[in-house]
Amino acid sequence: MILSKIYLEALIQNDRKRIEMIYEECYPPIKAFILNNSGNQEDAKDIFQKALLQIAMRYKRETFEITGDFQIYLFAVCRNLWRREINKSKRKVTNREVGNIYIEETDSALALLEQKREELFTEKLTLISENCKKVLSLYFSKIPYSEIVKTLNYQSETVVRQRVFKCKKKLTELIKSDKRYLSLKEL
Amino acid sequence: MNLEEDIWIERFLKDELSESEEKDFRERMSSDTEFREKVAFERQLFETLNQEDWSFAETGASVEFEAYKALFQSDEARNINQTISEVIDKHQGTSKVRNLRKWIFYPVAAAITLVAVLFGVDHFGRSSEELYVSYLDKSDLPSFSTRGDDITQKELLTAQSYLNNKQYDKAEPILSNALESGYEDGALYINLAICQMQTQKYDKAESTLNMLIASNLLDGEKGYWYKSLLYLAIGKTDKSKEALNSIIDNSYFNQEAAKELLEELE
Repeated sequence: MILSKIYLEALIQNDRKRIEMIYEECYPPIKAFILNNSGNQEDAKDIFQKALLQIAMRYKRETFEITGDFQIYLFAVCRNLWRREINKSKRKVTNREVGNIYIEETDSALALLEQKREELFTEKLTLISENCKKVLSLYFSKIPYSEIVKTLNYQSETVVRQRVFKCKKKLTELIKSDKRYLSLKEL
Repeated sequence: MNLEEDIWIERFLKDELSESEEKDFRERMSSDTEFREKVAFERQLFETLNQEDWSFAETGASVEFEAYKALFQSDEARNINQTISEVIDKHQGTSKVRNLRKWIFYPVAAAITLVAVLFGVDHFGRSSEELYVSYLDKSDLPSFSTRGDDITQKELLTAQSYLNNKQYDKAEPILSNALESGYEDGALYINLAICQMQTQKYDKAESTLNMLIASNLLDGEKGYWYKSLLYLAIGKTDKSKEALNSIIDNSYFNQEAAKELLEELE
């Protein structure tokens, strides 16, 4: 997508005019998503800003390609940053935190690598069979085995369990055989 | 990894192990590096591919991490960040004015209501249409999931913009096409039904909501709530009460609002 490349270049060149175009085109649905998911205006601004900076720094280092629409990609990054924000409160304190306050650049770098991992896992999920996708989608959504049996017309929970195991094994093989996994493995 | 081990790890991640089982599990993790790595990977899979969770990095010890950290600390990053911030602030100035108008409206409306009550004006006993508008306004509309092919995702984002601007007639055909092309999403059904209600296509709205209720989607039960509002819009109060009673009896979505609305109807 040529427009994606234009926007990526605009970000690392600090092209204000094009960054305004990105804002006008992309901000409203992102704001709507965050407001509809327990966020407020300040959260929406914050997430949008973090997402654009994250994309800029990633492009600066990797010159990666967005295969689809820039707007959709940015939305996905914002959605994940918001997921991350909401889940921060559930985390236990680790020895990386100093007085519960992260250095912002550390947090940004980690968020970026977590985003890359999410993209890799999600991409590989699309490569498994349709049946495996359905089973694993329900499994990862924490749907009980008894309900997966009914929804997908399996014979028993044992059969579902075996199917989940086989599908996960396939997914795991796809992820671990990708060279991108090696750099993310240490996370 | 064999199936038994997989089950053991799954039970650990779901907090289903007994105290003694968990003790054994943790001992195995502390002494078996390979096992520990398997657990970590399974946890990452679960937290990443579950839309409610997020997989946080456990450590920043990698070359890539250090490189990105340095980039984020650079002057270049600061300058780009500053520009983005200024662009957002410039546009937020406009939206702040819009919000201010909205926040003037609601206190005035509240004051008018208070005066009406003090002077004995009966502002209860609202018509079914008034109740429809009031409760639809209070309902938080769900956002679409972004899985699906690029064309569908782009179209749905366009539809979302139309919905935000209450251009229901423009959003409706996009949502209808997405549904017909097999895109299954609870939020899609709900937003389509609302577009149909707001453009007086009540029969279609009813069909849409029935399809939602009959689907295997987790949002399926939300169909009852929106059906109750649909029936209010067309003055079928009895049918609305039926839907509300279903919600209350089955503890479906928006049970408290259903009780409140039922009380108003009765």
